[in-house]
Amino acid sequence: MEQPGRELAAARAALRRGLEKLGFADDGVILRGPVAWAQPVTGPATATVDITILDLYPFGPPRVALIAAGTALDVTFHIQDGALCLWDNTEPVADAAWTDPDRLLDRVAGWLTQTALGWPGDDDTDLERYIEGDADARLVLYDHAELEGLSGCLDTEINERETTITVLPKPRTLPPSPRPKKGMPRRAEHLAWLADLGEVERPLTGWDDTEAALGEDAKTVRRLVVQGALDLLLLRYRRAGRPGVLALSTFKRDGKPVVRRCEAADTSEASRRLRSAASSPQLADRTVAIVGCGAIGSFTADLLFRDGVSHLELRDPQTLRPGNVVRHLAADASVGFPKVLATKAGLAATGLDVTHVDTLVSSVTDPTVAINLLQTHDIVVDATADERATALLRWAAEQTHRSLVSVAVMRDGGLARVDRFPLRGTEQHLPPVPPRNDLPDPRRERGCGDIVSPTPASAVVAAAELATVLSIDELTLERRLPATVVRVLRPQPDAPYDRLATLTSAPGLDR
Amino acid sequence: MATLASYFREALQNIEPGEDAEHARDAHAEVREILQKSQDLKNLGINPVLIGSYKRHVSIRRVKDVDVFGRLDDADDSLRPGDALTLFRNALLAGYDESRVDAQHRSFKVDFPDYDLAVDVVPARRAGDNWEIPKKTDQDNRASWIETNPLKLNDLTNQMNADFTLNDKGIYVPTVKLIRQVRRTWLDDQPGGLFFELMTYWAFHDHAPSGLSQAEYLTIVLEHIAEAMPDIAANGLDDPTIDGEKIATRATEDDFKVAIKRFEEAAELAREALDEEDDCQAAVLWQRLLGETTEEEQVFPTPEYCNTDGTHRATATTVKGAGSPAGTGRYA
Repeated sequence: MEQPGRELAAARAALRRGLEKLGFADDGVILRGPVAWAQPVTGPATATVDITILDLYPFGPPRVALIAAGTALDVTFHIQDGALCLWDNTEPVADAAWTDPDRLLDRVAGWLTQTALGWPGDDDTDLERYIEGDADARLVLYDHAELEGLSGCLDTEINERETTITVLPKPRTLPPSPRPKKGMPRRAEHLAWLADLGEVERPLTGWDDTEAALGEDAKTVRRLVVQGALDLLLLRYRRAGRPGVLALSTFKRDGKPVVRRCEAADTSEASRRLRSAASSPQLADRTVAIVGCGAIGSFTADLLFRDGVSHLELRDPQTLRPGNVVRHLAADASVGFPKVLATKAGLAATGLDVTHVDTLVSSVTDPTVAINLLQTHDIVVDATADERATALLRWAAEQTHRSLVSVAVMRDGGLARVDRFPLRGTEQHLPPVPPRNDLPDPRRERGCGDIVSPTPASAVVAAAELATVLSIDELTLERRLPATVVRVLRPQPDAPYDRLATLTSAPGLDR
Repeated sequence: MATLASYFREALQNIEPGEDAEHARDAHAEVREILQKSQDLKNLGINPVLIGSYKRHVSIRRVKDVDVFGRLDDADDSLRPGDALTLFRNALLAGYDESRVDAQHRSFKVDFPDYDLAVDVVPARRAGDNWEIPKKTDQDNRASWIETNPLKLNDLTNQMNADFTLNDKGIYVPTVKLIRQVRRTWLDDQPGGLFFELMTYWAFHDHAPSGLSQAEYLTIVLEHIAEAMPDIAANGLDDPTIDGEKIATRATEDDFKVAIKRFEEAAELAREALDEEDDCQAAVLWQRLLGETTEEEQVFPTPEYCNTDGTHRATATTVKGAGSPAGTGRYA
């Protein structure tokens, strides 16, 4: 077998040879050469660029730096650390244009023309890439919704581990000027300045650009930075109408303010929900009751909650035991709490709003309660694996013609099964899964008479995922999924469970 | 046999006094306080106590009268009945406007218009093991003492309720309540509620009924009352608290004639309801027997699975096929 690096070396050599043929001088590290491009106003020009083939090549493009544009050119956007931003990470590597010297230089020429045009229609809100980074910067947090309508001097809060600094929606009076002889009072330090730059025409590359962009506030901000009162600038801006936020840490060096970029993140519910499912907005006002907050119930609650269902009712009479934690959403710190509260704590750990997550330390043993549960929720998830509770909830679902999803793992986690009620049209559930007599005897926890199933956590999560998918199918009213789904998680001795597969019941007619 | 036990429980709840009980307690406490403010009555050892159907827990809604027995523990033979009435009248008028205090033959009725309730205050002095209460006659308006012992009826009621039980819970008191409700439904006024309560007492006392449901007890007792009533109408009803005494009643001969006929019908209806095999048909019969509350609502409820005409609206849920279709051995 050839050494793995040989092909890569050959690829790098091929690019070098290609560029040399196009007039590039190669010193063994940098290839410097001409790029013909079209200046939209003055006509053809020839730029000079330096091309460096990076270790990542050919899996990523070479670094291209502009040495001379060959004509007057105001370099603004799409440049980072002196290198041209030619492709983003979404560019398919399989058809990597950067491995073809002609296409590489065409790309550079196009970049030059766009720069000359001022990048019309470009709405990239990536101003932070143009400012030197601060290696020690904390992650800057802010709640976009809470800061709406505010500007000027605001309070901040640093977390216990000093990994984040949060800009609080608490306006502060400006610290006195000049700086008191005894130094700034503690309460007048670590402030943030919030400003709105409007539509930006060019990136900020340092303090001078920032000062110019701040306008009337610049003088105050400079004073506060020099006084050591201001730690942060939080600058709202727009590009092609699209809003962005630039966070900059500030400090004084040689009597002059310096800015460094920080990573910043919006903590608002809307921002936190951006990565939820596409159906998340549709699920926001749906209500789901989860009966049974053991292993599967807790993870089903978690998946539904993360997918956008924020109105949840959790029911379970039991307390979280240390032995539950290994396959429960809750952390060990929740041991001793009712499982519903432990589950809610797990949901709260996402940082999302749990205001509408209700908890009841009770089971469902009353038909009236079961009926009410079905009537007051868009769907009820039965994660009890309790024959009586399931029978009662199934009855209530069939009485009310409202949706129930019953989920369980079977055969020590070899199968995950979900059944939906009531049946529609001519639907039928899949037949019962025959019990296996060859499995080891169930275990029992010391001091606890309950049978403990050796089901692995991965099977629990798989079952929860199935329940979530069926629930969302109902909640979004798509109703394309069958009444029973069985997923074979480990091949079983008997057909049809003897291979990894997802088995489904037949769709009914007149559904 | 359709005993409809849970619906009998509901029927009994429907005739419970409800907020009247609270009002009765408050009114009694107020009257008691006013009587105890009288120095004259204090000198005679005033010691009021609740008596009557409310005290015996056999009253049904609405409770319009509460009886207070104004015991004068220290009164002796020198206290004349007319004087006792005068002292009580003065004491009550010291606390209430004259318009609220109405003198009766043997008591004073104190009106509580806010509660739509009256408190009957009866002066009483000890007479050996019993008590005496004043009674004015219509002829000359002069009062005399007559012997009574309402406190003993409290004890007899408690004892009877302890002696006759259904699943360890007294069955006598709820049966009295239902008999009182039947009386209220099937008769106009007389004989009154106490009269039927005591007929129920004698039915339990003499026949020691035994049953497995409230429906059975009600039916059996109704039948005994219907059977005994012609004789009682002719010879009077024994007072269980004082040997040899009869219970006074304002019921006329005609009243008794009507009562005999109506209770015979009521007893037959109860038997028909009890023997009916169909729950929904039986419920309609029980509804006819027990009539309406003072708020004009059916005392006996229509079972959820029945229509009001006695037909069925649902059959029993079967658990066959209920539960999970997944099979056994589920874990969550």
